[in-house]
Amino acid sequence: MKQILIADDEPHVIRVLKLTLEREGYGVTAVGNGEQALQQIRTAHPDVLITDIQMPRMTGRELCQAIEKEWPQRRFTIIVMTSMTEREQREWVASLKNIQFLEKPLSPRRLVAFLHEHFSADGADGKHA
Amino acid sequence: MKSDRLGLLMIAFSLLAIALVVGLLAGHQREARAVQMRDQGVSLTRMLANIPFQQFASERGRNSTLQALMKSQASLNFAYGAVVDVQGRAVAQVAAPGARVPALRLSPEPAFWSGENRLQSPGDGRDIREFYGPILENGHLKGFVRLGYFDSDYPLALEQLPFLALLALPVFLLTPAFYFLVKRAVKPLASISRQMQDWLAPGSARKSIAIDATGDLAAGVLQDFVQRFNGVMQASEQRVRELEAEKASMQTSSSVIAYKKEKIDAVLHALPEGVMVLDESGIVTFANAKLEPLLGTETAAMIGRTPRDWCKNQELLAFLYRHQEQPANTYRAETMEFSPTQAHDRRISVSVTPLFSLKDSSRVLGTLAVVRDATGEYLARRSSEEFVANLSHELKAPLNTVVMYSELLEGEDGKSSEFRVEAVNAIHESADRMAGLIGNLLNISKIEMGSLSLHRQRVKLHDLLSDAFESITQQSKGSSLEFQLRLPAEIGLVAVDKDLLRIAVDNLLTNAIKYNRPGGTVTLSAEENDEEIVVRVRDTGIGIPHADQARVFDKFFRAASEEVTERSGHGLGLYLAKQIVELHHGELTVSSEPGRGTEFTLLLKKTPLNS
Repeated sequence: MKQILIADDEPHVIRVLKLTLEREGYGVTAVGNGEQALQQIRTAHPDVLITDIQMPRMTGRELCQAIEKEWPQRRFTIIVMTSMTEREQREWVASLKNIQFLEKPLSPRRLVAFLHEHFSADGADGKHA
Repeated sequence: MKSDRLGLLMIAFSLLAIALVVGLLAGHQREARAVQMRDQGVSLTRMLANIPFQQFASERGRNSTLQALMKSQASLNFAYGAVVDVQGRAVAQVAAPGARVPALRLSPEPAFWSGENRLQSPGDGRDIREFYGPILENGHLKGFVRLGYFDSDYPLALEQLPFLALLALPVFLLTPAFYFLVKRAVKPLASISRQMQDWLAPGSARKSIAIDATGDLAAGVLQDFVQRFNGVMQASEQRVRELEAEKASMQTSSSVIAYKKEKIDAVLHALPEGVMVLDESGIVTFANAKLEPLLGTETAAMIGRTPRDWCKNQELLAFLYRHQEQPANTYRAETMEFSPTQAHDRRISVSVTPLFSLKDSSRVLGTLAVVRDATGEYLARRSSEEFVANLSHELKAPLNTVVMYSELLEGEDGKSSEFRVEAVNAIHESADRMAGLIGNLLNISKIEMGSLSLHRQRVKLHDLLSDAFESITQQSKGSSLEFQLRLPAEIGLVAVDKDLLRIAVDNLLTNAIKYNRPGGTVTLSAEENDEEIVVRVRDTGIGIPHADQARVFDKFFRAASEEVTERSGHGLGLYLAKQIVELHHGELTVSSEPGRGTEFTLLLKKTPLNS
């Protein structure tokens, strides 16, 4: 079962994503900020990390930078949920690899389609088989 | 005095002339006597040599011939006369009193038979000139004739005295005549000299110099001279007057320039911004006192030096020099901002403008640098950027919820009635959040544009506060906060815009909840006196640092602490509340103890019922 870690401070977002993704057969862990996400990753690497940018304590940006520093060879993909204005801030990820952006408002259907495609492409080269 | 000296000089000169004439005369006389003596001596010697030697020998000591000779020569300093044989023995001799014939043997050689000797008288040692010649008989030498004369200085012949006196008299007569002539010629010059002295005396009338020399020989020349001299003096006086006038006008214009400069300096010093002027070579020629706190350097240390000598900030230095190194035609005004090394939270703006010559616009006279504190603008700009990001987040977060829930409602989940209730509640709550935010934004923009008009009504403040309290406690159901309402039984009527005042109170209460702590308390209280109604909203939350208390009502302001940033917000609620209260001519103040809690005090003036 593919493990997905969600980091968002909006309980509604977590609730909806969890409901959707679990029904699609993914294992879902949810945390409320970047700090908790980092601790969770130290316990077990997910297959995909879905994170918001604006979060208390540690923002999505700080989380990505901390991950890059701690695991430069990480294999899991990061999906950043962002609003339009934050797109301008994407420069900071130019150096990061294996990172995707999904724009808010986020459609659960689009997320599911994105994940299916991601994992099937991933599975084809046999890395996560 | 001068003329006396001249007189003395004249007398000395004439004496000298007389002495010279007498001297020359004496010399001449002496010369003449010497010649006369030789002629006499030589001719007498020859005459005596013709007398037969035997005659002298036969006179036997009577010497009558020689005696007669001595008598004839008395006036010519005759010393002696002698006839001697070849051996030098005297055959006959006579001598003047006191004189003797010096012993002398003469050479018998024919070549030396006649001649002249200089001897000394054996008696008294006086100089003697002796003339001698041979006495011959039939061609044989028998002896010699010797005649001696005293060769001494002759006193001036007394017989010359009348002649000398005659000579001296015209000299003595000419001297005073000459003296008076000179004095007369000099007289006009003395008058000129006196007039010049008067002319030089301080406070003199400076009249032209006049001369009275009519009839004088030099009159024409002097008159010309005086005329030219007066011309030169007039021209000089004219020039002096011109120079004095020029000097006066220059003094006036220099004091005008000094006054203007003082005024310009005063203006530059009074400007609210820091002003610095650099010349073409980059040296600071002016710096006002406002620069000191902005750049952290004393102005005295700047003036007369280049920024390299005093500027510690590399960013600013590079900016000032980049401008310096540009060619003049590309000069244009530029602005930069930097944060001082010691104060990162401050922002200093520097604008440089080239100073072009007003006469020749291609010539750059230097650079004007205007320095000001742009911290306020910088913070506002940053707040505004943060505000847009926050607003986007604040609007998109509930929108996200609406989109996600509505999508799930369409699918399988929508069939569960339990999920439908959850979804509807979530969507409703999100819509309220958005509506609240949009309402705040609209009200703010209306207030700022001045288009918000107050709809004052007589309102029972008691009811308004109770309603707001009820509403907020309902929304916070399930939280650990404790809510307290302390209102007097009656509060007088106030004329306020009910809807706007409610927004202000709601924002204060929302704020008290948002920045509270789990288990904390939110208290809404009110009291009334004769003139005003005081409403207080108190919480036991995180409080506001003292440094930030003055800024909590600023638009977009949010404290930088983590406790604040981890709570969602956009820095508009308190700003709007304050604007609303001030529209009502009320006051909204804050007092807070960091870590203990915050109290907002809303003060409304009671309005007479008939207003």
